[in-house]
Amino acid sequence: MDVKDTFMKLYIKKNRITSIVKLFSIFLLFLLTQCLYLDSVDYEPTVKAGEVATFTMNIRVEPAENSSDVRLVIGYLVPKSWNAANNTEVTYTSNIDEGTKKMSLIPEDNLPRNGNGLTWKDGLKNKYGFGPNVLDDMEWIVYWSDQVYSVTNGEKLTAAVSLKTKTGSDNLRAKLGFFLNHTNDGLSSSTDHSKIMYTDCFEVIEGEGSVIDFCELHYNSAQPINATKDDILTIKFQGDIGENILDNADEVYFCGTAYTDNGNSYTVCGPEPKAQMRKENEFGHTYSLTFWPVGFFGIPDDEAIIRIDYSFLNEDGSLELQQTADDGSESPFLYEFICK
Amino acid sequence: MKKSLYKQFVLLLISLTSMVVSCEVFEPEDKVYVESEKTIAGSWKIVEAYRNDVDITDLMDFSEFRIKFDSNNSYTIENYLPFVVSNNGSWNLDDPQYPFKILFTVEGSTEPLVSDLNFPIVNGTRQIGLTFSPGCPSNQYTYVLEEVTN
Repeated sequence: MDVKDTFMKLYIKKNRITSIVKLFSIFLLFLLTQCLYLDSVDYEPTVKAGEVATFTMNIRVEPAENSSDVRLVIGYLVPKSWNAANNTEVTYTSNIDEGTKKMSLIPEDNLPRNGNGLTWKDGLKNKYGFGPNVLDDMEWIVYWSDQVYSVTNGEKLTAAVSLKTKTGSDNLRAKLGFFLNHTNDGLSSSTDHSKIMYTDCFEVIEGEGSVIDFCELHYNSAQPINATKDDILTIKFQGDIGENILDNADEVYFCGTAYTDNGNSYTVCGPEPKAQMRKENEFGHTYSLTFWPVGFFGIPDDEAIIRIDYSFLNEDGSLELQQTADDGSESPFLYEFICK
Repeated sequence: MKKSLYKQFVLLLISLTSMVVSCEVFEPEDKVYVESEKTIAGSWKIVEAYRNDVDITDLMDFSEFRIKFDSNNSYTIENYLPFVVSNNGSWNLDDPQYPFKILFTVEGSTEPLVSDLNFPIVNGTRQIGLTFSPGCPSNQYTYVLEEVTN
C-alpha cells in the first residue's frame, strides 16, 4: 500500500465521519428545537350574543434547554366589536403550578424580542393578518403569564389555558385565532417556538342586526363594520364567488339609498360617474366603491344615517344584483350604521 | 535589514503625527444647541390615507382636500373629507420643538380636539402624519399630508 492509497482511505473515512456528525447534529437540533405544542382548542361552536364564550387551549411545553425568566405568551384573534381586551379573563392550570394562575395583557411598551420593533399585537397582525377571515375588522390581543418561569431541559409541562370573553351584541360568524409563544422567543420566524390554530366558523346568535360573516365571501361586503356617517365606507361586489347576472358586465355600478333618522332618504343609483365601482384587478370580477356617505349622498349636517340599502347594476341599469333569500325572493343588501 | 529600519521609521512618523493631531487642544464653545421650533404654516394636501391601518389612498379621491395652517395659528379647511375637525378654527402644537400632538380648537369652542402627530422628512420633503377618529371611535384614520408647493 503506498502513501497515496493510505491518504485516500483516510480522506474517505474522514468524510464519512463528517457526514455522520452532520446528520447527528441535524437530528440533535431537531430534538432541541421541538418544544412548544398547541394540541387543541376546545370550545362550544355557538354562543348567544352578550354571553360569555369559553375557549380552552391545550398546551404542551417540552424544553430542550434550560431557560430562565420566561413567560408563556398567548395571542387571541377576535372581532373588534367584542372589545375583548376589556371583556376577557385569561387563566390557566398546569402540571407544575398549584391552583389557577392568571395571564394579563402585555404592556404596550414591552416589545417582542424578534418583532422588528413592532408591538406584540402589531407583530402578530403583520405576521398572520386576520388568518382565514374575509373581513378585517378583527384584532389581536396578547397576554402573558403573570408568573415568570425557569424550565429545565427534558421537562414535560402541560397546561390548559382558559379564555373567557363576554361577546358583543352583533350576530356574527368568525374564525377565531389562538397563538402560542414565549417571551424568550418573541415572535421569531421559528415555528418550533410558536404555534397557531384557528377555530372553525364560530357563531354568535340571537344578537342585533344582520349576520356579519367573517368566515365566507358573499356577493357583497361592507367595511368598516361599525361606522357613523363620518366614517369612510368601502362596499364591494365580489362577483368571483359564483355565477351571477353581472358576469358579462363590462362596468358595475352601485345603486344605494341612505335612510336618515328624520325619515328622509337620499339615493345615488348608477350609471353615473360617482357610482361607478372600481375593478380591483384586471382578471377578476371584484369591484369596490369607497366613499364618505355624507358627501356621496348629500346628507345635511343635522341628519344621521341609519342604514343604506344597496344593489349592483350593469352599465345600462338593465340588470340588478340583489341578495336572494332561501325562498328565492330578492331584496337589497343592507348596511346598518352601528357604532359601539 | 535596511527595509525593516525604514518600516520602523515610517511607523514612528505616523504615530508621532497622530499624537500631535490628537493632542490638539479642544476649546469648548459657549454655544448650546437649541432645537428649532417647528412650523406647519402653509397649505397641505393628503398624499396617503389609511383606515384601520389599511391603505385606502387609491380607493377614493383625496386630492381636493386642503388644510391651510396660518402662522397666526388659525386654520381653514377646503373640500372637507372626514378629518379631526369639521369646521375652521385655531391650531397649536403640544411642544413647538418636539411636537407629538396637534390641538384643533373649532371656532366657538373652548375644548380642543387632539390628534397624534408625526412630523418626519421623507425623501427630503416635510410631511405631517395625523391619526384620528372622525366617526365611530373604533375606526382609526391616518392621513399623511404634504405641503402644496404651487
